[in-house]
Amino acid sequence: VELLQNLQLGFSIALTPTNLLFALLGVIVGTLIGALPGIGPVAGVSILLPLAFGMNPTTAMILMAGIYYGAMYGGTITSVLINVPGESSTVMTTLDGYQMALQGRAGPALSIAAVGSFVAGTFSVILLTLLAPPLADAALSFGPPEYLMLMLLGLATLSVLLAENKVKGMLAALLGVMIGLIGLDVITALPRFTFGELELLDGVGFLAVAVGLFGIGEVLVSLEQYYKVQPIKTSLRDLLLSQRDMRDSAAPIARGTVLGFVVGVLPGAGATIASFLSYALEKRISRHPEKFGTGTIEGVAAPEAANNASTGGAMVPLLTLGIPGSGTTAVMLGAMTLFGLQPGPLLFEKNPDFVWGVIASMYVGNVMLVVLNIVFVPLFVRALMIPYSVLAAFIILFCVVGVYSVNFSTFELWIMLVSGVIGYFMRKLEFPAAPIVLALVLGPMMETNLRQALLMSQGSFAIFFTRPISAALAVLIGIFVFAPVLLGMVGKKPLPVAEEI
Amino acid sequence: VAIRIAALVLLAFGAGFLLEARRYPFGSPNAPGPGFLPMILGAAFLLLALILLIRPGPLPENALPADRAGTVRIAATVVFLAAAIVLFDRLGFLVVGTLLMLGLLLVLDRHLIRAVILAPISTVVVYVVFKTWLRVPLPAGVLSF
Repeated sequence: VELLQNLQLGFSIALTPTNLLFALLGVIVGTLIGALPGIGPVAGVSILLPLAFGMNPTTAMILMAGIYYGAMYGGTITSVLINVPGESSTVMTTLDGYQMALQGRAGPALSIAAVGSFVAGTFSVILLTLLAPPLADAALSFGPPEYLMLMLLGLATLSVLLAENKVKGMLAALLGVMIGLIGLDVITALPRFTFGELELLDGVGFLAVAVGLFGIGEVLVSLEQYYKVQPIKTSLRDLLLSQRDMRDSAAPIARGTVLGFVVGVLPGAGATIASFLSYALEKRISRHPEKFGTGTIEGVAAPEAANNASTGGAMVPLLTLGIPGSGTTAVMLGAMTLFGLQPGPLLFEKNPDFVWGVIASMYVGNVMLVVLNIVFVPLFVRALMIPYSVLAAFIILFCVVGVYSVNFSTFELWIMLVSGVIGYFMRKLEFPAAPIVLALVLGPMMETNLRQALLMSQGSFAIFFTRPISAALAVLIGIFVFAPVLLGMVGKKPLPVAEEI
Repeated sequence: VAIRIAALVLLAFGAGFLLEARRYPFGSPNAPGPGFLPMILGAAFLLLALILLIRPGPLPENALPADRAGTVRIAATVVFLAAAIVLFDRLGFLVVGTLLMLGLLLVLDRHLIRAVILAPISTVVVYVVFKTWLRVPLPAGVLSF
């Protein structure tokens, strides 16, 4: 009953004209960003964040969430029609999606992706609705040691467990925490690493770094070599799915949804991993695995469902614990603090209108998206015809204005440019960039929690191992960080996923 | 080799970070000071950079620049952007934005008419949206409305 009341509250907020409008704007922009290669949700959310500054936090979050899950839909279009993934989360879709398009079945491929995404997106929001409140309650008993361990776990997953090269991943994560240290020390107010620069006292803005790494950096990499955008000519009028398509896809969509949600909840793992695992799973349990990669509809349905389901999952730790698991949710968390919200389990008690408004808007947004992605596909395809050279100039202009809008300072623009150049080299040398943003946002919180925990225990590190939840998390982190490193030393590949595909 | 160079850069960065971190009170585990975490992080970073230097792993496929034209485009973009930031407050957004777009479009797109039309229009639209609607105080500079 309480749940229904909460949802009612949420919908009463999500359905106001302003919020509907921004949800719509969010999902359209999200779809576009998803469809356009060379710009992803992290950059999209960061660049558009300034648009949201004047708004109330709920509307702003509705907009950002819309971009986030909208991007999962949009990436499909590019994957199917051009064989270039619009997002890293739709890489798997290129395998069978493009093959289907070559066989003249682009319509059904896009339709099943939209339908699968809708089903998965909606189910994951339902699970979010059901799971978040009890989890937030449970999290009320968490102290500094638990929080520190949770954040470490998220960081370890993203930078070590999932990175191709563990050392590079760890370096990126450490670099993020180190950048996060710049500024006044929270406890003693001593300026650290500021070298006398007044502008650095407040620390390095996560937004400038995120836009630099993911906006500018991505553009620079893409400028190096133009690819030809040549959507294959295919009739999109034939969007209807046959009965057989539906029957073949139902089970993969269901499995993709559950898998995607679970992966999304896990700190550090997100849409990309969800879609990889889901594809691998389908291939393994399929009765005709040899058909995967030749244009089988299950190969489109499952990963598309999984990447959407992961967005609902990723919102769980973000809203209940205030701990983001990915680059995009890290930016969203940073935005929440910019709006003066205190992320964490108390959010449900103190700002129910915010939490439930955002959750309700995700139901609405998914409905909008399924319509958009079936009816307006031709329009998005047209957007793909914009030459990247023109697009790049626009992205850069938006990056500049967006970053400037945060503090009205050109200093932040320099940070953006430097981060952009660093981001370029990181991409070229295959250093993961997401851990930097996540670590930058989490770093200051981690330090505060670490020092508080040590104050609580009077300096004994045992506190992290004597409290049951904290100890369990510590063991997990230990396994994540050290097992792959040890395996790496004997030269084995720790993640079986890559070989499955 | 490229990765070894990166590792050396990181190594230097870590060393610099540690040197700076030494200036802050370390405290002790029971009363960790502001220098506590920086020291630990800096040391870990150095260690990892060293591992990378010794075991750089294979060079990623696309690590080296593809062709000269691409490198020129990237360098031009970075230079334009830096110039724009320098001039941002002095000349104001309308002038800088237009010049930046013009420069980028000319180098990247090589389409004169398109660039001349798009650059001022896009700048003015962004200016109007951000300045009047969102009330972001974009510097007005020499031209404004």
